Amino acid sequence: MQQVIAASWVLILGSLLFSSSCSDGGVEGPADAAQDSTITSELMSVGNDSASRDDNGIYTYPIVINPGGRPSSNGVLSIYYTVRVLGSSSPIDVYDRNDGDPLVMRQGANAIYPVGLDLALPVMNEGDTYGFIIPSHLAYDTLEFSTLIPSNSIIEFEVELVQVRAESEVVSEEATAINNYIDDALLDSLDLNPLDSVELIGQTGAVAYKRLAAGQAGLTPQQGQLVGITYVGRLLEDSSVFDNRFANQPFQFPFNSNTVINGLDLGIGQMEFGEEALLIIPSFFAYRESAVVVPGFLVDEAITGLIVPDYAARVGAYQTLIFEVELLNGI
Amino acid sequence: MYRYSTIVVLLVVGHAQLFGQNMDIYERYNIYRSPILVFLNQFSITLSSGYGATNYNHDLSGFYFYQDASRQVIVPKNEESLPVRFAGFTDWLNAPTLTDTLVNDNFFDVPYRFLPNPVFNDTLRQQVFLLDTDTAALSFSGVSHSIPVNLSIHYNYKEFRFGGGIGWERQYVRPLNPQSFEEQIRPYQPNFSKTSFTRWYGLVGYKFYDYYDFSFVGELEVGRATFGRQFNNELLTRGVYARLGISIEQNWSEYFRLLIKPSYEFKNYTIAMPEGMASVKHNQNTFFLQFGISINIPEIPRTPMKSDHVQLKHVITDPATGRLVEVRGQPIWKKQNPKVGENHRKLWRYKNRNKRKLNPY
Repeated sequence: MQQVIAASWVLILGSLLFSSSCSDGGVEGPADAAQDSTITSELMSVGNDSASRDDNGIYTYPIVINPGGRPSSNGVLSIYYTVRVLGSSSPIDVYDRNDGDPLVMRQGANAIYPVGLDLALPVMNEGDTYGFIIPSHLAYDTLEFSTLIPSNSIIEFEVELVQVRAESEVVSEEATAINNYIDDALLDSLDLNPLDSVELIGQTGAVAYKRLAAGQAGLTPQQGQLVGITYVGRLLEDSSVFDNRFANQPFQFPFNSNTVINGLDLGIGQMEFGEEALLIIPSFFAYRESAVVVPGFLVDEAITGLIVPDYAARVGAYQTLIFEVELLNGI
Repeated sequence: MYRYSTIVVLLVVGHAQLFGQNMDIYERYNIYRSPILVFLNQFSITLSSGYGATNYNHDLSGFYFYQDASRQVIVPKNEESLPVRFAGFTDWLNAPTLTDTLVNDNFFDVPYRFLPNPVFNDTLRQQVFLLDTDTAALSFSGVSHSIPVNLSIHYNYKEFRFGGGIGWERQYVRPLNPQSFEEQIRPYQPNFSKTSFTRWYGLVGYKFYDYYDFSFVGELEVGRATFGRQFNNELLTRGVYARLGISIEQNWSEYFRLLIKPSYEFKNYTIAMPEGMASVKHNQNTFFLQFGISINIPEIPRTPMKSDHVQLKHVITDPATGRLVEVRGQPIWKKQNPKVGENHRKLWRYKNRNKRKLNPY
């Protein structure tokens, strides 16, 4: 009798160990399996037999193939997209050519939300159009947005990959755009801007510094010194204001202490107290790939949910910034 | 043997009944008992230890709560809004300390630096969190564990008891969890892991129920506690505490009891911020479960004669003084006047032999 009881305990313990090893070993849980089943049912119902499932549980299917297109992996991508909840006839968002330039994002830098989109994009080449069906845990998980996105929704993307660039190409293009801006705004014209011509600071994709009003001669901030500035920040591409700080609440920070974006430290380092200047900061010295939330109207929810940093709502990927700065005397 | 012939065996209770009146048989028969022991016998001494669970709880109304990656700070609300640069207090549980200047800003917004791998970056969870506790309540609560040791003495009068004691408690402090904004606010981590408390208290009790060998006594302790050096006692204001408990006592004999005592203590203290601008009240209520022994010092000694095997209390002629004295035949933890079959030893070696019996000894 005792042997029977002992054997029963061994069986029970063994089954418990087996079940726990299954749950810990990365094998899909019941919820994932249910979503997988839902996806396959949906694909069968629409007669989609070209979809394939990757290791992450994302289903991808080609819509337009561009043989010989540039691979997207780790590139700076420009895309149009349509996104919907799986099985829904009305999309959550459509972003196409009617909305303007394609959306820019960096693949493979953990800078795209939802994460499943970042994971799925490498299957594409430039010029391709693909469909992705992303299970909820790699999409928006428990994040909800009105009635458009219920919690734990399976999300379907249709993505057109318009362009693939290397990051170095983007940096080069930004430098060109900055030069064009300087020329167009006649910043180098000493007739219009008599103090100085534009000075380029830094190595890669340099920060442009243009003095607008002189400060106290020779009095520049020192490393670690607490300084106060006021500024108006604009995007180079459309001159829209993305941020500002005025004299009633100046922005204070320890100079050159890795607290603010490098471009701002570089520019302030050229300034004298009391001086006003224009700083044109390429993304390499600002927010680089930033963090891109798709669709864009979810960015506030993503910030509140501590998914992306707050600057993602102000500055997109590879955007050049213009700061009109005054370095305040004595704070 | 001749000497033993002088032994007069008297059952105290039996004699009292025999005479049928409240006559002091010790006076009547001139039986000596030490008046000191008789007096001390009215007192019970109790030693106990066990487990305590203290629920720390405090409310931060009247403060700004600020949290960044490395610290949590409270700032008394002297201004309508928290300035960009400010100083506050850490360690408000035990020893509030003024911080250096802090910055109230969002370090993940423009123009602060770029964050690599930004999506679901753990650093985002360390960003500054600021709360005005007038607009949203915030409190912290957590249970810490402790080992108490208590020594008390009480006087017994009928079913009542009056006394006092001293207690010492070793407490192992655990983090306190926020009761709101759990997603954003980290648990409060005290700057010490263990501390101690010493208590002095008076007690009153009443035995309200007897069941076979068990007695149930309701007890109330009121006293003061001193806090360990982990607390800044200069900033501390503490009142009296009160503890309600039920002592469940198994009476092994009239001199010896085992007890188990669940109790609940109501205690709080207030700690002031160093510059006296504000203070925080902390509730520190504790549930205790203690085990212990309680003894009464016997009013009569054991018999001095080795050959005296009388089991009950009895009177002998003291060989040293020639006086009649009452003595015990039992150690204090055994029934002093056992009936037939009581106090027999239960030997483990008989357990197996008698295993099929109802009481296998």
